[in-house]
Amino acid sequence: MNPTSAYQKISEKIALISATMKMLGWTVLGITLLGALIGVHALSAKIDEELKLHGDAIYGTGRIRIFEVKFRALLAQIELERRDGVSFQKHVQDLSEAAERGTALFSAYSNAGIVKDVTGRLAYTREVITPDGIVAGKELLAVWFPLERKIKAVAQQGDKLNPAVIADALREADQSSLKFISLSERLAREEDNYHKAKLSRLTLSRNLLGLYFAATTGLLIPLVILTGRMEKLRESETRFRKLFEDSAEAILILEDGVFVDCNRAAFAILGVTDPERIRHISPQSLSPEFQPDGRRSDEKAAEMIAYAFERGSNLFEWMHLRVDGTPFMAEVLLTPIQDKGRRRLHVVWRDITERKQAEQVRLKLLAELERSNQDLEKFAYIASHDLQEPLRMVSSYTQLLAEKYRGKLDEKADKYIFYAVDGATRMHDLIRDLLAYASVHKTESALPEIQCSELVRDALRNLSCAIESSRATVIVGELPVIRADRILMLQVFQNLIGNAVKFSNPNNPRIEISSRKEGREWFFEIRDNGIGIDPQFHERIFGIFQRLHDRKKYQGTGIGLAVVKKIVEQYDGRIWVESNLGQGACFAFSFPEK
Amino acid sequence: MSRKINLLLVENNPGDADLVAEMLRSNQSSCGLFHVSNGVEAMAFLRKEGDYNQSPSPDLILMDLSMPQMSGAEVLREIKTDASLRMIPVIIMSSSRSNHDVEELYSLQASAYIEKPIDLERFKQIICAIDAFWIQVVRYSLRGGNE
Repeated sequence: MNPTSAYQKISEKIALISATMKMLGWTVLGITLLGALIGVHALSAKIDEELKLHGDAIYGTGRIRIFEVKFRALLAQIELERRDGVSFQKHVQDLSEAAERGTALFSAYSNAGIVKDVTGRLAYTREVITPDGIVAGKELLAVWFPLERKIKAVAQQGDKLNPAVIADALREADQSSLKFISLSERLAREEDNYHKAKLSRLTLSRNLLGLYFAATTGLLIPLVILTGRMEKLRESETRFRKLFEDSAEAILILEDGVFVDCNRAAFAILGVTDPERIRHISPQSLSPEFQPDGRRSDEKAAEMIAYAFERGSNLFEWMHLRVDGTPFMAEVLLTPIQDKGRRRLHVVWRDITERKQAEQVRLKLLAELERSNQDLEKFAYIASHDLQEPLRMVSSYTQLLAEKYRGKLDEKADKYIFYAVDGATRMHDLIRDLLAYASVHKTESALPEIQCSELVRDALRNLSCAIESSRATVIVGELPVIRADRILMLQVFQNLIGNAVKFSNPNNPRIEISSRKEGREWFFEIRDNGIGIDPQFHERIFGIFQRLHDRKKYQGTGIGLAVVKKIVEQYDGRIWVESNLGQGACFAFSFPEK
Repeated sequence: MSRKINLLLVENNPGDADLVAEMLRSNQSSCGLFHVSNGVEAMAFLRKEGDYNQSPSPDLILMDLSMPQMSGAEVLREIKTDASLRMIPVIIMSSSRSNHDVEELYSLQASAYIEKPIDLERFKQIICAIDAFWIQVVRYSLRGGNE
């Protein structure tokens, strides 16, 4: 075998492997060449020469360093081990264990024996070469094979190895597990047979630390071990880069106070077309002098960055400037990146200008609503107060008139006076109730717990006259504790129970007050066996000043249920009635669990 | 009943003022009634300023709450911060049902808060009650009056 042609073959192989690795996005850190039996001396000599020439031998397109070449040195190593008295078996065992732990940096297929890897650990191959020749140890294979997870023959005999085939094989390979893909078939051991064994084989060995890539080919059986360190990183970096670039969120990398990288979304948000415009500029120069809270941007930015490093992340709102100087509100997320001791930050910007604007509109509307509510309350108060004054005059003086001139005027005059007084009195009642309705609003402060049973007891006491005169039987069931304004809830119960009494059955009137819980709500029921309500009026009765009956028969302004509805709805409850004419009524309302 | 009790009525509404006067009269009250129609006049009366330099010092004040320029509450505050006037009991009459008003006026040292009723009969009862208690029963400082 011509050493030069052998060397060329190796070179070609290395070029092929390098191309493959590059294609997969790996970094080639090192190559270990193990010579084959034939022409090994010449090969070593050739590589030695190359090393002398360049220091680093460059093969193919990858940057390749040759770590270890010398076959004879390996042999010497074996000799040394032997002389040390450490058994070969022991070495093999050590290596196997190391491999199992995922710490063996090295494995190789070769006709060579124990080799030393870049870290100085011993590695072994399936066959051991001694100065006496090849020892194909069957016992060694027995140790070796349990470590093999998968045997993949990438190419069949006579195939040409091409990068795409190898790349496919590698993609299939499990990323994380210890994997040795070794030659499934032994090359012929006898020197004579090498010529015949035109196998194109690929040996891949992987462990957690890296990829060992070995290929053999027909004639020479050169073994090339490429140490591609942390190829996974590289691969994930490619993936990350794509994610980074394609992300809809603006992502920037901040290092030592300046942006060193950013994605397309960041350009878009800033209105930049030339990436160089934001490279090496600071976040402060993309900010106005002061933030909306009045703090200086530079001071606050330093604080935010320090906080991110301290806490592991920092999410906050920040006013930035586009390159044309228009401000935008951003939600900024800073996350430190541990990277070779550098102080790097992963920065995400989300343009929240629209959200902010919507928020402002919302706040403005709320303020307007608040103001208009206040105005309304003030109006109701003033109106009721000021309307009552002249009304009192009408009422008082008509009454005075009636008193002073009783009998001096005719009967008709007395009737007119009655109408005037009655009208004024009714108007007074309406105004009073309108005021009560307008002033229903729950307090914002923490609500106290109230025992509904006590509330109902108080309501019944307030209604005692009406209840006694109606001779109604009142049954009060279990009632819960709720959180609400006491006075408002008393109004609810008093109005509903009062109605039940007012519209009660003249014979054997009966009123039941009960509650039950469903989900996160309480349901209260006030049920009577009274006159009932035609379903067509079920909606209407909750309206303000809605009455279904003659005032002479049933007194009231028609405000009670409207007040009750308003109160219940203020607590996110609902109120309704179930009833038919003449069949009693059941007023029910829901109330959220405290 | 050694001397006549002077009652100052501070009432902006002439209708109400007449009603009070009418009711007191029909109850044959023994008090001397003086009427001013707003807070500014009330303070002038109390301090005997201008036209009121001959006015007596009232023993009791019956005052409406809603008045122009100076509200009843403001007048009350001024009376109670004036050392020479603060001993005069002030009864507030108002058509306001607001609890806030009630609390505010009592905290300003009102002696009583009375809601003006719509019903004439009730109004009469109230005035009679005031007469029966504040005029007939209560004893006032001897420094009061104009004797």
